[in-house]
Amino acid sequence: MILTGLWLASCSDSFLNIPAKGNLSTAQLLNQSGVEALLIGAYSALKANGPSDGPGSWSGNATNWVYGSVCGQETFKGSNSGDQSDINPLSTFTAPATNSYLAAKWGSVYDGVNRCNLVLKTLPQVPKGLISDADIARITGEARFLRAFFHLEAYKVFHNVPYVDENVKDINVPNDKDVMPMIIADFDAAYQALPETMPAVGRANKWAAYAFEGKCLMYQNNFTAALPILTTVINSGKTAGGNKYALLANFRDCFDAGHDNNAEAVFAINASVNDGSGAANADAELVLNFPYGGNSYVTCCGFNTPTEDMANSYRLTAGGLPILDGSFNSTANQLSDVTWAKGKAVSSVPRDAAPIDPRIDWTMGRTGVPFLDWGKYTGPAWVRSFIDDGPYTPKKYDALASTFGTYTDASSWTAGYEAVNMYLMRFADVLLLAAECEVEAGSLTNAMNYVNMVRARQQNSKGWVKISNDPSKTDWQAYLDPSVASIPAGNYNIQQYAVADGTFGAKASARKAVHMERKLELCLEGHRFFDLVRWGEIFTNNANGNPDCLQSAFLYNTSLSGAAALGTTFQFQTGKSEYWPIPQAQIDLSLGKLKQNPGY
Amino acid sequence: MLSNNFMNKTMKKLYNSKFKLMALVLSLFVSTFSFAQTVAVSGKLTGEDGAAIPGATVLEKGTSNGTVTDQEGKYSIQVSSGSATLVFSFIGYKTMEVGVNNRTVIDAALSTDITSLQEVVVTGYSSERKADIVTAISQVSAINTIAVPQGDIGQSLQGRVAGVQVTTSGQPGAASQVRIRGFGSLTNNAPLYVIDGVPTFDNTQINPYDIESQTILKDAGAASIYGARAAAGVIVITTKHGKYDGKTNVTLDFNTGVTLPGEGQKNLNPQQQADKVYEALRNSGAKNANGKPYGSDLNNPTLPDYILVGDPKTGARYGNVMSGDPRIATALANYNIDPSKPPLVQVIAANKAGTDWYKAMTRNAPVTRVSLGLSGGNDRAHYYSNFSYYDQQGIAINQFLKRLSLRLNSEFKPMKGVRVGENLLLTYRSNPFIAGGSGQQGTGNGSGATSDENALNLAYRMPTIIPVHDVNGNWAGTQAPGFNNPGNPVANQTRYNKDYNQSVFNQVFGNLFIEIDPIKHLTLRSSFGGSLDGYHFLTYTQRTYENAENTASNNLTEGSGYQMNYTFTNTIRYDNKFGNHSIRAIGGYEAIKNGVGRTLQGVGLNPYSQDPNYISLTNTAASTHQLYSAPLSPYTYASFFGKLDYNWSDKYYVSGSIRRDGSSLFGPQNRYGVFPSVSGAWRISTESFMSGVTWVQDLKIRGGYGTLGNSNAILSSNPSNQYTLYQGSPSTGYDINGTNGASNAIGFTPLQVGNPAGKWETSSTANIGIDGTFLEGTLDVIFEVWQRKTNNLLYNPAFLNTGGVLPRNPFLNVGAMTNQGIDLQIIKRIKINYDWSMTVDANISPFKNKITAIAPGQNYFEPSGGLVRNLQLVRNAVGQPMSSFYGYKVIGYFKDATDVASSPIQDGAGPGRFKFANTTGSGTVGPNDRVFMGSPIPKFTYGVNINVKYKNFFLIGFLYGSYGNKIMNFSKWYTDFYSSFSDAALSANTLQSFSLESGADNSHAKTPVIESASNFSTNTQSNSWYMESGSYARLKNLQVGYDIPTSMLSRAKLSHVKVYVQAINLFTITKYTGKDPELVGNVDTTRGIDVGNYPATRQYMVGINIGF
Repeated sequence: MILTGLWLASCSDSFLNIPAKGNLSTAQLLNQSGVEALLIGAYSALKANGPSDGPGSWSGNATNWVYGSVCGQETFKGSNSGDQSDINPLSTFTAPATNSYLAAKWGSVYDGVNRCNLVLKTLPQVPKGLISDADIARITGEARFLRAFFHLEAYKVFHNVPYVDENVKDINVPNDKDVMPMIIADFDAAYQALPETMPAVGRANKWAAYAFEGKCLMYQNNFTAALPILTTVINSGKTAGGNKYALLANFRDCFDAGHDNNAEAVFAINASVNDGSGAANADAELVLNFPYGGNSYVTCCGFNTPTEDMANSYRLTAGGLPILDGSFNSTANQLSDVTWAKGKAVSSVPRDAAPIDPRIDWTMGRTGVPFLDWGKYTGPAWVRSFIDDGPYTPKKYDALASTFGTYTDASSWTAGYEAVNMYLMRFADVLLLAAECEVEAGSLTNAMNYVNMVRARQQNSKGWVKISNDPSKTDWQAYLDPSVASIPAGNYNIQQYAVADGTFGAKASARKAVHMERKLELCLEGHRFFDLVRWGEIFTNNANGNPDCLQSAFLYNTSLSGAAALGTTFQFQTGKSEYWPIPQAQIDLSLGKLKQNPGY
Repeated sequence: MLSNNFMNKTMKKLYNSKFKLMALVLSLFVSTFSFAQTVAVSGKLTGEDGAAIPGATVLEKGTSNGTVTDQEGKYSIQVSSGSATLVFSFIGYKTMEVGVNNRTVIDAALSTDITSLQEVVVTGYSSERKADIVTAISQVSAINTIAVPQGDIGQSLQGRVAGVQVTTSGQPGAASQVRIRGFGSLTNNAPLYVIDGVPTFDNTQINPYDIESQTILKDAGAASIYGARAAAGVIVITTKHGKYDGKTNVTLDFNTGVTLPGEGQKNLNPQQQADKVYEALRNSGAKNANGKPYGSDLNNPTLPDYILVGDPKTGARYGNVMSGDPRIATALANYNIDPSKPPLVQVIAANKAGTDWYKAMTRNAPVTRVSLGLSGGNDRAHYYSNFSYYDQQGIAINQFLKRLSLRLNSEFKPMKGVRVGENLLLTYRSNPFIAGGSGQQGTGNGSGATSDENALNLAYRMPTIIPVHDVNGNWAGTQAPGFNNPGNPVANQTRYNKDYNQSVFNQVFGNLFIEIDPIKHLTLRSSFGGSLDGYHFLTYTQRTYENAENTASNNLTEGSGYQMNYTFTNTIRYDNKFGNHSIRAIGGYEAIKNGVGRTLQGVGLNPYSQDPNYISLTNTAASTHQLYSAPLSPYTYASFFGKLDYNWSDKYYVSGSIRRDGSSLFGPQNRYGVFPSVSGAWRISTESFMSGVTWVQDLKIRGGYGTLGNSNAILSSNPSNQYTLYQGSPSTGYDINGTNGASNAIGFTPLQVGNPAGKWETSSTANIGIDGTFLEGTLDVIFEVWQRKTNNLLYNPAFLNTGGVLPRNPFLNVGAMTNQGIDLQIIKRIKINYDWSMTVDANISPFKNKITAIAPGQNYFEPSGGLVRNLQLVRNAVGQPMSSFYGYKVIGYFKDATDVASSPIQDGAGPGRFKFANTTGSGTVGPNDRVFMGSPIPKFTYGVNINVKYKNFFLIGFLYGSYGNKIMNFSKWYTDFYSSFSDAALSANTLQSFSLESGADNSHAKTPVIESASNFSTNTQSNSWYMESGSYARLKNLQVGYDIPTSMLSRAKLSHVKVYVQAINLFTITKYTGKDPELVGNVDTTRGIDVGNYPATRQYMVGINIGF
């Protein structure tokens, strides 16, 4: 027995050496497939699902439905006011640095940054010859592109942020520098390194990097430098799959999973479903943003509901153009659904007969209009809490009933996990950015042409929402098949701008038209608040004092809906509220190296 | 084969005993005729000191003829003959037998008997006389272990032992949370169980009837022999054994009863709810009642006849429908609840009388336990075997624990000085938990805190107007518009039946041992033990149709795995006495390997058929498959240990122990740790100067100091803590090829940054105590003062996100914590007279826990479990007890607009909303105004056990209490605010909500104004309004029974027959307004948050215990 003990003691060191099981060590990654998989891991961070990469994160999203859309007052948070209540103070600009959504956003972007740096740190450790120089250049370019993207997200939301690259030894990086030059440098390096067509359609290519570089310059108001870049992208750009950038014929197709990675997709989060991940690769970010109830298959959870101000913005003048003086919210112009919010019973809401932009009916659920192929949107039954949410619901990214199960994943707690890609840069976005630059450059006709490219698509009646006149056919069948007797769901008299109407005759009105077009085209795509900050259209949008700005939208909306959650006082403070506070926990951990944003 | 022989023998004896019983009855009959001549005997009983002993029993041996001494200790008795024998007995004295021998006066002096001091207590790797114990040790007897029927034995420690805190959920099968002398770790404070010498952290399988004793080793002196894993205390469990005495014993225990669910939380009835909802709308400035279910008049809500009538054409769902409406007939004609063929068309009538959802989802649940034990032996072998069946149905529909266990213990003496044997337990356990419930499945654990949206939480979120069933008898629910999103908990639980919710756990646990005495006083022992576990679970979640948010698929999740643990222990023991010197020494070597195994789990959706005989992963759609498999992360320990006990003349005691542990949990440079302890005692009562102090029978002062290592934090969280690792799975992948699913690329992402420099936590404990036995052995007092400090505490602090947000942060040796307290136990035995006696055993354990360090630059952390619905409720901070509640102090409700204007600025302030204290005086209420609002850790816990005997009747009462703990009654968040989940059920508290009507008296408002707003001043911040006292005292057990006289039974070879009735949890005294103040949770950093706990409720039992 004693001998056994001694024998055991002598071999105890080997007895006590137990390798980690079930996971990979660094040594196993030092080859091409290892590094490629790390790069996929960096792309995976776009899903912003948090460290476990499980489904369910809607708080750290890169599509910015909270920071861009809700805070930009193009949507309400939705649901009832107590549900995900931490969004309320974000959208009223009263969020403290302890807000849980801010912590999630910060964590998501820097987790992405870390994964990119891991690629860049591991690559040089791979023995020479195992990866071709071309692949090294490509991998480096993709990693730098993604790193720049994540930093740009941090910049947009928090502004004064640390820049972390692969050479950083001490992760406690101060936020004492303007990081935009470094973001631009990374995008430019990616532009230089990346090929035009990529081995997979979901990868960032040369043109995606260049488009983002152009956009970054616009955050510096450097329109002069941005314009040639965006022009080159428009003229020469191609998708990673090799398609020349172009607008799709039908607006709806842009937001259908069956058309992912189309000619309009400069860069998008590629989502997938039923892939063995338990919906972890689906677009968890948008999973709450379906109508609540109605005839839909997905009944979760009534978030991100478009506001009345946003809906009214789609009102057209008799000439088929947007109303640029802000009077779209006037009693004469507002949509008929708005009267529902004002207290009328739904049954008494008349059909909206005045001209309206056809994009509205692909963007939001509106009374009496078919909701994709789910049946007609009937109002209250589709809304979770109209006192908080208003009469509209989000529609843009919603899956079709007919693709339920194919482009949706029902393995998690709700059926709203979708395969549709979420745009981070759409060609229409590029066109409108270029239009902005052209305005500032004084080349107003070029600007008008870009805007008209976007508007022209909407004149295509094939792309309009239809109501079937044939009792044997559904509304959706009428949309798909022009031979079915039908009428358009709205009075879609949309027109292009012309020299004659004079809008593009002066910088100020041209600028307003471009800004308005972005609002209409990119609604629910998470850009609105950042655009408004960039333009300074918080309290007044231009010298005329036209009430189409953040404040006017807030005040108008809360006079109808959402006041219970948001109050009726616009609490934005210039010089402070443009950016959110840096999460307090991060400042504490940095032992003071991270400085809080001004005003907090 | 062996046990078969035993069975045969036993059956024979049973058979024989029938005849013996008849003989007994006959002999009793005969004996009534045999009192021919009686002899009178009288005398006086004194103690050794000559003092009279009143109340002592005088009995004629072999009869029930007896009497009791009077105040002067005198007695007189008629005995049957001059050759009879008298038996004198009194508690605290040795029983004395005296032959009458034709005498008529017999005086006797009884000698004191402190039998309890002679009891042998099993301790670390050995056993010792209670009198010789110098460390902090407590014991729980077999009888107390089985007093209350329970799924796991952890509960049997509750209130029995000073210094041990136990909380248990009412969910059958849920493991108890046992904490010994506070909390040494931020991560894992589970004690180590040593069952027949085999260490384990899982005590849930053991059958309470098998237990001979449980010994709790509380201080370093007692526990440090177990070194590495003993820092949270050790519970040494010894199971029953036969004896080398030639006797065979059979015991049969049977008891059965019922658990009653009691009443659920009181919610508003349908009309009250309607009134409140419309009041909320009016208070929020609503202009109409669009989409609401109580009519269109905001000022005059009415109850509809139907809350849901589906429209087969458009799929619209109409509420607010009155009888006679033609839509009802249309809907009924096109009724459809098949979600795969939309639209759903249902008709749900309003339940105007109101549904009691708690009642609907619960039941009177039967409990049965049967235990058949066999033991015996001769001079060469002894054995004990027990077969036990335990079936406890939960109060929630379809929830239960069933356990079958077979115990086989035996020992053989093949030759002189050699003993070999085994202790073996085979367990089968089936224990599904409630829907959306708590804890982990498969592992038989279930001690986790209840999760949000479990079936019990839903029961109080369902509006009472919704019936359980629709008009066609199918499920009803929030598919009816206007009631928000709670799911029908009755439907959920009913669907979770035994076919669709399974959790099976099998285990073989035990050891084989050999003991050799090569020379006198020396024993060598070698034991190889461990466990082999296998588990399987299956949950089949069905597609629903009745809820607002329906489950969209039939989801089959199935998994299994195995785990193997072993411990190889070799010890050498020396025990001798030289004159006045007693020496006992033990040394040993131990090798432990735990956690060898694998897990496998799969998910598949929508099998072709719902038939449970058919459902399998194989026949679910391939595109829906998710697969997981992984090896477990094993860990090893290699340890040397030694202990030396010395005493001089049973007067002066010194004891020292040392253990050197090495573990795979740490990197090579800090792998080994050495943990010494020293203890001493002075038995004052043996000193000559104490000889005149007659009221002191035994008095010992003892003290000890020692250190313990601890690696439990990483053992339970991450045995691979030293390594830097990456993970890769479909869920870390990305659809880089744009295929929408078909060919997802797997990505690698960082999992953890390793800490190869990690080392042992060190916890040092100091303990000073007094053991005393007084008043002729009728009073025992154990009093101890203790302190425990943990340094180098392993904690995984948060890091800056700029280094990535990794799933696992490394454990570093950064934290520190102190615990100090007092353990007091008093046992008083009272013998009133021959018929009446009573024992009171009471204990109380006040203690304080304080975090003294967390990590450099980090003086608090907020665990994710403390964040519920975006409210951060808990903060663990330096200077505070663990898991302290943190938030704003509510100083009232804002009275009106003037009050708002004259108060410090507060976001969202408004009449009837919370007014928070501006503790900083800054003029604006903000995060810095938050305060610590109390701790869920009790100031003290206590237990009182009363045992009363009258003749052969007995009564046992056991009261357990907890004082000074706070509870965050978070259930109020769901039911006391309109805006949390608008239109879901509101509680009866809201009948006294703050009223905005002018002139309303709000001085007794129970809840804030009922309204739609959700902001800083309403329901988005942790605050003191949710805090309640969690103090309670509960009569855990009240038992009345009858022992059939042994004199009768012994002739029938029945050693005892006991029948009893029992009430468990008969009453609870508490101010807590939630369902049950005893909240369970295995995460010590987030305790005491009530979101709908599975309550411990009243149980009634009857039972019988027979011994042959």
